[in-house]
Amino acid sequence: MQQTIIDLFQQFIFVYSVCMMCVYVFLAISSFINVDNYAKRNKSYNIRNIVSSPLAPGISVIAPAYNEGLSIVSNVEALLSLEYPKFEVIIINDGSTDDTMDKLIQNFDLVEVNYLYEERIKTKPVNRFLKSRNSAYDKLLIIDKENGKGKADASNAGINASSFDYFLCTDVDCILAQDTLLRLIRPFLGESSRIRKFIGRLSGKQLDYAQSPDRQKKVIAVGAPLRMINSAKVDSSVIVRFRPPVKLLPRFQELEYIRAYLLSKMGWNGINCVPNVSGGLGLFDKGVAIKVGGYDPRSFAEDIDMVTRMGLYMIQNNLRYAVRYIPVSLCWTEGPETLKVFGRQRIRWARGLVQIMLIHKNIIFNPRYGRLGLIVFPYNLVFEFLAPVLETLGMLFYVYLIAIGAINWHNTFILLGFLYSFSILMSTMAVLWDQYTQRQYFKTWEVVALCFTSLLEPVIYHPLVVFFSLRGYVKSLFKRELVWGDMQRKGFTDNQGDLSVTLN
Amino acid sequence: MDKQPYFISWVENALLSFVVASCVCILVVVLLRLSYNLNEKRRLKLEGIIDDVLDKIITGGPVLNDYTLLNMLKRRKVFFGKAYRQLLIDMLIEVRLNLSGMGDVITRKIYVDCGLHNYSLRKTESSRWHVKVQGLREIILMNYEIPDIDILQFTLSRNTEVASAARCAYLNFSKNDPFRFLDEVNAPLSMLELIEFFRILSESRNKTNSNFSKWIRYSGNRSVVYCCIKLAVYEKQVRAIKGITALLDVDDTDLRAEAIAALGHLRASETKQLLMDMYSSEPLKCQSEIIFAIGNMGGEDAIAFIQSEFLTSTSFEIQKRCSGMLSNLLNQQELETFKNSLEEEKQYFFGINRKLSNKQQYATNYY
Repeated sequence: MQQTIIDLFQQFIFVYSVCMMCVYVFLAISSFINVDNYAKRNKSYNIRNIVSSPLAPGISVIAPAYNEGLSIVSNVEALLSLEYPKFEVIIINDGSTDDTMDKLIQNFDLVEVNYLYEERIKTKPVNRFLKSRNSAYDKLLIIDKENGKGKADASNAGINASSFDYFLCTDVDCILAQDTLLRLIRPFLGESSRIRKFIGRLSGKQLDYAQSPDRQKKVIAVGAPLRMINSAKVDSSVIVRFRPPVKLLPRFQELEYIRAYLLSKMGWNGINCVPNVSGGLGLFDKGVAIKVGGYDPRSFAEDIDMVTRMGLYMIQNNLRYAVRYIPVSLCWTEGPETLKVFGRQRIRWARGLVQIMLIHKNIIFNPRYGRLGLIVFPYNLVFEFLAPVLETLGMLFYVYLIAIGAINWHNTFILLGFLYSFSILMSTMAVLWDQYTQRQYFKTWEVVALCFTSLLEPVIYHPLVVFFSLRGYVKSLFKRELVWGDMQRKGFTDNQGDLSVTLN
Repeated sequence: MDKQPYFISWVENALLSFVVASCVCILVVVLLRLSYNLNEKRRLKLEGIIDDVLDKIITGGPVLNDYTLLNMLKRRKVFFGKAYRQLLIDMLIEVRLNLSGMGDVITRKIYVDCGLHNYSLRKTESSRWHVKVQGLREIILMNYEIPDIDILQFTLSRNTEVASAARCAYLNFSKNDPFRFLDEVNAPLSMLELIEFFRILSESRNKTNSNFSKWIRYSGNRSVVYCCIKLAVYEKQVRAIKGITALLDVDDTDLRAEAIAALGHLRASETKQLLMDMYSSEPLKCQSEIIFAIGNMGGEDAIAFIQSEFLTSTSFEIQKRCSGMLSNLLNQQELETFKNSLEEEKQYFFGINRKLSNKQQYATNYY
């Protein structure tokens, strides 16, 4: 009996691992096709055509700020200098307790204005709206509101106040590439050209259009990779020298982000199954976002939650939709450098995943929801949510086998080596895809060294991720409160010194 | 010793291949970066030469006959290599996009004298779609004229990227009927393509003779109709009004809203009454566009209609649109009088902040 259980468990773990590896191989191939297609499409298209076009749709850049006094001015200036013909920057002061508001008023010559504001999404009360008297800052709108205990509430206030049909959600402490808006708007404008071979039906009747709008996919959200800024050289919120993080923890995260965005999300992009658009950088269709009620302030993973609800809305209304990713890194953020902060972040992510799985449990394996129900959620459940649990069980099982002396060391080492080398291959491939798309790092050896970081990742970083995920699951189980607003960051203003900023 | 199971030997082989593949990936990364660095060096070299010539052009020195870039390039034998050729084309395009007048003429001359046009034309024959697109884009951006009949075949391509690039090329080079391809388009036109059309039209500085009304009325392709409405507005083509008016009956709300807005842009006053009549039965999006269109057309009846809608509507969007249009239509005194007659809640839409100038205030409210 005992032997049968052992055999069954071994077979289960084996099948699970093989399935996971197959998914990764598929993602690697799909992502390469997508990255390559993106490069080919962009080779001869001058993206700056959009800059001079009167047809460019307007974009509202929404950036919530909570106690950002140290870097708010330079960061807002950086957002105002984005390259795009029609955009506004909405900064939401989410009840900061430091001098964030004073600095904004002082530096941008702000005065209170009457602003036509409709609360289409319910938020904490807005105290006032401010605009600059200086016409150079015409694009800037500041919303001063009560603290909503999270980014979601502040973002919703920004969505309510936004004037344009698309909104870019970012964090005020993120640094964006100058052409972020130009690149992110492209998938919205060019989705119909993705249909490579299309034979339309010419209809004799004028009112019966062969290509009615519902036959074409509507892009509801577009994302791009986020990267670590920890060791980069920054001057006035502009990155002047890209460099992979020197410290080990953010360096592992850099590798993880490259893999997650370039390999995973670009891979899913190929079959229109992108599971989420990161909260750090995402361009959304405002109409759909408002219809689903914007971000949920109670959610620990408000970004996944909103994209899921947007997808559900489209499915329930029989509308074809797409969530797209582009392979060009456009946003740089500071990764946690200490285990404490890192742990807190990962616990929150794990709790967010549990929450999403519970809220949307009716979607999983439900064919009514198409790819969302049959691919996106099952993948999240089996390979994201269950992976830390199964990995831990597998390790405990190994320990048990060692204890009873039922282990073949030779075969064990070969199998572990197999998984280890596969993990390294995936990381190096992701770095290769990244280099194929863009070459931001100045030195070749920096890129090679980043590849070699993948040698340590499975033995140092991965166990930490599993550990914190499990802690998150346990905390979810006991419904322990999550504390917001304690993410200690160093800041990345000009002097990479001792700035300590408390972020939301 | 026991014989190793087949499965384990398979895993061993896979492990080895993963290690080799990882090494290959790293090697490719290094090679990619080396080739990129090499290209950068070439680009800097070319940049130096082109800057040198452009300096001479700008300072008015002898240019075309005595001291051309072509001679310099020939002397330095740089344009013979494939990599240099492509770089040179890219750089000339970049220079051309940023220059006009003499610089424009010279870059084109260099393009032709160096035989780079042959290289671009060869690309259009390629079997790879992205190379074909690249070739077409190069001849558009360098304004190297080729017979429009040669381009027409590409507009029928089943590959939408190629067809799109060909349509832009056709629009760029066709003298008689630059939008002829719209008769044949059966794939959706993307917004990016429309942006490219606008760019080409604005650069050509010539009005097209195309009658957009024809496609607006008879095309079975929704995106063509949408595109032609935009183009008719851009070209201020009054003769398209009749065709656009016919679209007020279509079931597609987005298209109807677009048509209403177009009538407003074209100030088609003859449709004002029709728009007012249909207002009450329209969805919010179309109502908002009707307010805009009627406001754009102007007149006493327009003001009365918008004022009435502002007072009766409960929709924030409509009230916002109305207040914006009224701010444009009424003079300061009339606006103040109207504002004072409103209840406090409605005055909010015309809120004047004393700390800001009127202009800034209106900008603030995004009228």
